[in-house]
Amino acid sequence: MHNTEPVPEGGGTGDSGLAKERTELAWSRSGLSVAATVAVTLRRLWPLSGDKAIVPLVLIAIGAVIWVLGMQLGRRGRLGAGAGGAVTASTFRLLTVGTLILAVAAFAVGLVLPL
Amino acid sequence: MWVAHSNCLHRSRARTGKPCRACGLGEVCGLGEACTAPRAPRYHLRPRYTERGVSFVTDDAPSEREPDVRFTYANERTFLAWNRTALALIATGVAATQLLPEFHVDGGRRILGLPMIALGALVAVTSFRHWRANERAMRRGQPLPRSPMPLVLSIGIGLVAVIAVVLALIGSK
Repeated sequence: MHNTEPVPEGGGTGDSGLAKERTELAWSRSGLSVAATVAVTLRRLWPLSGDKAIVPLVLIAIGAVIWVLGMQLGRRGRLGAGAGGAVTASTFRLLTVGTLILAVAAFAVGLVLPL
Repeated sequence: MWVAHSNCLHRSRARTGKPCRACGLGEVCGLGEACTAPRAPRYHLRPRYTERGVSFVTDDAPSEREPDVRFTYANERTFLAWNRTALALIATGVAATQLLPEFHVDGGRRILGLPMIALGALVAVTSFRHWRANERAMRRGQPLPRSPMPLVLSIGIGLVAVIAVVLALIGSK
């Protein structure tokens, strides 16, 4: 599959396709990590039984769709840009700020404490 | 009154009467173009045309070029791996405060979990900064910056492990 894509500029030895694939898999793992951490941190907001048990499932589905769309958009920009790619500092900053917000929420949850 | 040719870096030193560090001649350099002092940067803005538009660079700014795309990807993956480490620390910290049974030590679960969450926040911030520094170094063809984070992370996790062992030895309710 990656063989059909043009080798980006600066590649040379032909590993570029695999590097891209590895990077996309890394983004997928990050998506799963974000989902798992959100689920654990905000555990008490998700009803796990009863009529409202559907709520967390819907939220997870929405999150997955957003993540996949974001990855596709990033990929398109990348192919258009040739080398380097459209994943800019703002993308990384967004993920970092999101992680920080999560950390603050987790700290608050940890302080207020237990079930 | 002082005289210095425009390339001498140390005009301000000459002005205060201290010897010029480069040519050592104090107030008056007087060597003109023969002075071997490092040249002061001259900021001639010139346009550089890229796919993303026009940017202006200076003659003396480190020249930047697009690194090998594989290195860009590798840097990206490294950032993501650090970020996942941060997320894992946060999630584990929450689990420690929420899911463990109460220890005999007051606030034992907080003592165990909150440092992990704080360490996670630290790792998240530094991972972004390190990604940016790596990116800049690669674009300028400079050596990659060193990071203290592997050491910090190792020590942090080691300390958390020690806390966990102590809490476990004292026992839980």
